[in-house]
Formats: sequence, C-alpha cells, structure tokens
Amino acid sequence: MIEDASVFVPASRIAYRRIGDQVVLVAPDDNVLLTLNTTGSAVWEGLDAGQSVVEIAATLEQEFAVSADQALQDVVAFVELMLERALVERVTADRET
Amino acid sequence: MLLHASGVVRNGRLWIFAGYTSAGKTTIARELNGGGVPFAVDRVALLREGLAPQAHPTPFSDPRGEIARCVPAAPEAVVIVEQGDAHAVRRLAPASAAGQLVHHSSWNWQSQAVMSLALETAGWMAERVPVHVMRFSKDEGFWSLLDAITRDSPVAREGEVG
Repeated sequence: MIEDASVFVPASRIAYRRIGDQVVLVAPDDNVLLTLNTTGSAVWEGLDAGQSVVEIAATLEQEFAVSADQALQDVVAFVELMLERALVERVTADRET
Repeated sequence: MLLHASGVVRNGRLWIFAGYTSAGKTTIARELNGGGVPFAVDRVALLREGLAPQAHPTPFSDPRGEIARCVPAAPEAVVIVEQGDAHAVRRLAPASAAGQLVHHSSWNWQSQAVMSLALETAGWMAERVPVHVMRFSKDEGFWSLLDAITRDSPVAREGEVG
C-alpha cells in the first residue's frame, strides 16, 4: 500500500543519471536500461531527493499543470511500476509531512 | 567507450554504424555500393578528447589490415543500424541516445560503479554527437538517406518509461 506520506528511494544497486531533460536508469543485476520521460524523470528526482509521494505530487502539479488528484495518481502509478521492477526501495510508510 | 560498430568516411564526414551482430555494420563498411572509405569494421573506440569525442579505428575483424592507415577523427554522427524492407531514420534525444551508446558498447553490467561511469561517459558523448536509428535495406538508397542527415535533424522521442 502506498500512502501519501510514503517515501521511496532509488535502490542502492541502481545506476542512474540525468541526461538532457531525462533520467536514464541501469539495473546492473538485470541488464535493464530504462529511459524515463520528463514526468517520470521529475518523479525519480523527487524520490532521489527523499521527498514523499505527496510532496512529489505537489511538484508535478505545479510543473506540469495537472490536477492534484491526477498528479498523485501519476506518482503512485510510477512508484508501483518501479517497485515491481525493484528499482526503488521503501524508506518509511508513516513519515510526517 | 568501445563501441560495437563499423565506420565509413564519406565525402569527408566520418559516420559510425553501431548495432547488434548481423545488423549490417560490416556490410555497410565493406560491401554496400556507392559508400566511402572503411574506417573500422567491428569495433570503434570513442574517446573524450578535448571538447569533442574522437573516434579511433581498431584492428578487430580486419585481417586485411585495410584500416591501419585511418587516423582518428571527430564523428559526424553515430547511427544505430537495423536491417529492414525500407529506409527510415530518426534522431534520438540525448537520454535515449546515451542508452543506445551504452547498449552497443562494452561494459561490466554487473557493477553499479562501472555502469554509473558508463552513463556519465555516454551522456557526455550523446550531448556532443548526434545519434540516429536507421532502418535500411541493402541498396544505394542507404547512402542518400545518410547524406540527408544534418546536425539540425529533429529529435524523435519514444520508447521511454514514465
């Protein structure tokens, strides 16, 4: 379950780098290389900065002119996808914002 | 960065052709009519030298020693080649370009530290050398398509996650 205050960070095994306006990820164990789109890159950088799901959603709402609900849905969907691939790790489920 | 690639000097411009085994790299360098002078046939070393990447030929898969006289040069572009029924080309955004450069070069994928270096190196290259994906068939139309590529070719975005 992903709560608004949940915090996830890039998995320690992942190599990643911003190139241009996008983030590229490499999962060395799986030989996987992913190029994130600009929205995904913004979410990833929020995760890398230690922001909670709701904090990242607030950033998306401002930067991409989407509704708060849509921004939160997008962040949760992205984090779920990253969790499925073990590209991020949960830090805490009840961090106060 | 050691690219799995061939190279051709055509009309004074050096083109690097990267791709998987049997993608057509050697065919382009040696056999496709109307091309240019082979620069490399299997591996190209792409190095950071000053402000621009420099491509160096290597002796891999060159039993006739044809490439020994080639001098390092700044590449016009790296072209990721795929064989198909028709010609098509698209330029990659820097992030996708860097990903392709990593895919088609030699790194220890089991090491996070090495792959971080790979991304740093590929990102530096991709911001300085255009990278295109070209689907081609084995005829003279290939070279016309190549000649039409310019530094101003628009960037296509696809195959991204987010």
